[in-house]
Amino acid sequence: MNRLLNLLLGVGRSDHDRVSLLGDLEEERRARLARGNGRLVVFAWYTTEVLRAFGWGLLDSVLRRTSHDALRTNRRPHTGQRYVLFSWPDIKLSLRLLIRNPGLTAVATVGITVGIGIAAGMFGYIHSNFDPAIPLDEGDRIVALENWDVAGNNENRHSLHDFVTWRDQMTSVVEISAFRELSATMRAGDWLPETVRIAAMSASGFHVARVAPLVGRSFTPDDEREAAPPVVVIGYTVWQSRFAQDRSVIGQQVRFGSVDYTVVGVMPEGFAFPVNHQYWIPLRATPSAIPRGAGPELFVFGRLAPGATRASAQVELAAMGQRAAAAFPQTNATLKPQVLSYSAPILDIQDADVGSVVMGQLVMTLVLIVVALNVAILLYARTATRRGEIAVRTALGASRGRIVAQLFVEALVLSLPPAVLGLALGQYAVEIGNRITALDVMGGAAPFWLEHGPQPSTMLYVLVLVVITAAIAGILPALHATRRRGGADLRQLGGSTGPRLGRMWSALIVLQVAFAVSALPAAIKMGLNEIRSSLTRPNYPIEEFVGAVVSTGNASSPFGNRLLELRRRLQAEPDVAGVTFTGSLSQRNITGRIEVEGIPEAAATNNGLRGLTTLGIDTGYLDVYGLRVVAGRPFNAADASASNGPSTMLGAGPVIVDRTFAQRFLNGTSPVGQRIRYAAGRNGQPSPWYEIVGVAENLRRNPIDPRMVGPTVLYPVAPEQLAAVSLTVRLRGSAASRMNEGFARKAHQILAAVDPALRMGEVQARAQAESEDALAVRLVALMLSCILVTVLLFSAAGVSSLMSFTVSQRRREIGIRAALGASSMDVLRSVFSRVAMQVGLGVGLGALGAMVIAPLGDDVVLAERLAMVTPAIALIMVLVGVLAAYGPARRSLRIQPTEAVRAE
Amino acid sequence: MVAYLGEFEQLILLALARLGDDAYGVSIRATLIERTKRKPSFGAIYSTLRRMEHKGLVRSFAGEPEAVRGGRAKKHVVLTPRGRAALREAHAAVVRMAEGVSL
Repeated sequence: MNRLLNLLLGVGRSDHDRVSLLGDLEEERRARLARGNGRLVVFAWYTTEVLRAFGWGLLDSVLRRTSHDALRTNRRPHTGQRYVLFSWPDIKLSLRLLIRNPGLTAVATVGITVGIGIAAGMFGYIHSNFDPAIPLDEGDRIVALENWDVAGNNENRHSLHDFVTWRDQMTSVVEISAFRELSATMRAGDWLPETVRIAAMSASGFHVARVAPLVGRSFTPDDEREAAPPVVVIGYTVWQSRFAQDRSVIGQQVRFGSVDYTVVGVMPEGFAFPVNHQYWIPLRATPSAIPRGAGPELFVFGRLAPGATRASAQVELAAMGQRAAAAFPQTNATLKPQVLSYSAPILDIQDADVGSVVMGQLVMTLVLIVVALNVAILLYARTATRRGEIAVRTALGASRGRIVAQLFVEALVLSLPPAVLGLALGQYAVEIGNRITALDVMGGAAPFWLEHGPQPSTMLYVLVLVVITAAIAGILPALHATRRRGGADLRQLGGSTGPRLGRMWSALIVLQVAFAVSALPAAIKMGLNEIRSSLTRPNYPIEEFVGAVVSTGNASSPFGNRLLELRRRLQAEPDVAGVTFTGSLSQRNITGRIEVEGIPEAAATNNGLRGLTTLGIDTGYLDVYGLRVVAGRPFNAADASASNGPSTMLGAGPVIVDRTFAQRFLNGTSPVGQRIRYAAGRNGQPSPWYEIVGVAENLRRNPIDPRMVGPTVLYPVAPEQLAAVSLTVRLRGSAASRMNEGFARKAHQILAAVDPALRMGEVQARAQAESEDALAVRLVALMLSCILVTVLLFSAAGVSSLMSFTVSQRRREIGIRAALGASSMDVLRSVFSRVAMQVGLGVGLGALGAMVIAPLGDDVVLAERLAMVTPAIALIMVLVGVLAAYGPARRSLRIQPTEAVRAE
Repeated sequence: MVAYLGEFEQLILLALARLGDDAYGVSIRATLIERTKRKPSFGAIYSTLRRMEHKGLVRSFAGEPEAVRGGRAKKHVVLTPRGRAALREAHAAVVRMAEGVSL
């Protein structure tokens, strides 16, 4: 350990500085431990400091590069002379080697780019989502408090009573506050109504953020009283866009739903605490009016008191949790309160997730180490050909350390450009990952702490990875190549066959081929499945559809005639071709198998197939989508009114199934009149039987693989009996151009005219929502193709290097054979035999591996197809091997016996 | 000619002026944290000190090894007259620039 520290801190520093720096770090480390910081925290701090100091030293070293001529760099340093790790001639030589070996440079560039790209992407994603820096004053001391229900194994946020207790009694976390999110239709002045998200937050929430309002005031505890006049604080963006930055905004009225709020303050630019909000109203919740364990879902947060740590706060909170469990066993017996990082509850991240992600990070780093080893092999091949040069340098006085350092610099120069590319690739993956995560966060907008562009921590991580890669790829081959051999290496200059390729090299090539044959088919299949399923297209002209969620704002108050009126008014618009509603916010996947009455094997066919979709539709749905009923009848008004909405999904009634359903489950029999049910719901009981009254066209189709389209069951709902529906409007012509012409505003206006209390979410073109889903697929496809290309490239490069070596090593032997009358075929056979053996062994081992991997998944379709893909990959690997061996093999045929023998 | 100083260099020189004979890595960092609320790394401080030593603005000498530092010696750093002059000039430049400006 000490040697490593000395090595890292010695880069770019004198011995005196290095010793003093180590002393300073030790003094500070002890001081931190004495102040009560946890060992792990201090260790993390120490490691970071060492890495930062190493980075500074490295930077100094590069900046201080000195000009030596080529011979001087080979000189053993004089006593007392500073050892220069990075000399300009070394860097120049490394750059020349990059150009002189374009094949090696290309393979290493692709490999390191992919390796670092994946590792940096993973690191960046973890950093921005699992442990983000909160960009507020001492943001790292803001924590979240949450009850974890050990019985249900989920969080319980109905914690109003606990919040009050924590706020009043906790000492290690102060300024404890809470917020809940609301949405409401906002109206002010002559603006168009707009659905906005509001944070109902404790007055102390602004103190936790330590941000003062730009204009006016934030909340006072008085504002939280039930009888206090309603007030709102608005964000800078709203102030700018809606109030033209008018300072007289204070005192103006804004209406949320049917209540008028007085604007009392404007927050400064960029402030979006607690998540991504621009409107704040005081949190009003009186515990006496709400029973324990009920009430709104609250996100509770606060600041660690001076001197407190998350661990000490957790101890205090756990004790409070035990007292609450004893006092209120009915509601609190199974609740374990936790102190979490501020972002964890908002992003729904639990500790277990963090563990698995860290494990993923380790695996990704291992991938990079495998890449580095591959590069090491290739560099070793190059280094081995330069033994003569190394021997000359040694003879001229260069120490082993000097030569190892030079080869390390070469590896570093080789790794740096791909590291920059990898960082860019990783950042691209992080941006996509963040967009996918943001879809699940409140309102689908990015939280305020998410920063764009590569973060310093990611760049530092990449720097460390580069050094590790260069150390593996440069120092290992260098140490091997500089073992004392003296004259033998000098003789290489005379043309003797010097280096031999060890067993490790051969074993690595065998392993590489085996890995490709065993793991690639499964990876390809999984990736292709994702891509194929993304090719599933709607079976209707999606570009004509727009949608939005409409609700009454109160789950127990259905729409009634208001929804029918909304439909009537929308349909009266000239742009509108049809209006329909579905009974749930999104298509809903039911877990559990379908049973068909009288066909017991139907249930078994569910295994390994894509999920079943059930959807509550109104009677006009199929017409609006233009989907024909191919057998039986469509739903009629009697079906819908007999139904009580989606809550009866597990109650008996008529259903329509699609073609896929009929083909997959009904054994070719006529569907109409048959009865189906869900085998076992969550409560373990089968659902009642539903009668199939019709068969409709599929909602979606997949031109490449129809098996990717899941079966659908449609049931009738009467949307006016619901409190929230998904509204779908089919427009005449392109929805995108109608949206540009202001259809969304028009829809809001119509809704407000029907009833101002109704709420409408974002009106979105359906095609746009589809394209968001495609993001994740792009990410998977990108990673997959990168890994695929890398493995194939490394295999090819490995085989090619091996062949080149075999040929150069056996130059004399081949010459003698040719002189003795061996034919070209004999020569080729002997050259190919080794590569054939290695590729063959690799393919054999890989096939065995594939047989082990294939049954691991429960996806029968995948397993079936793997049987076909594995031989294909094996064939590709053999072809790659042969192609890579072709060049060296041709060279072997050109060896002239007289020259080969004379060279000795 | 008086040397040009970067902002971080100025802060470190001021810390040296404040600390006198007791200036070394830990005390310099503590002073910077206390007075500027920044948390510079030791690596950054050492790099800057090395650079300024090279320019002749500071000089260093080794102290006695101490148990609390794992038996390692401190590197004491003091301002040289050239460093003090550079600091004075840099400060005067800031004062001149700020004159008559309401902040």
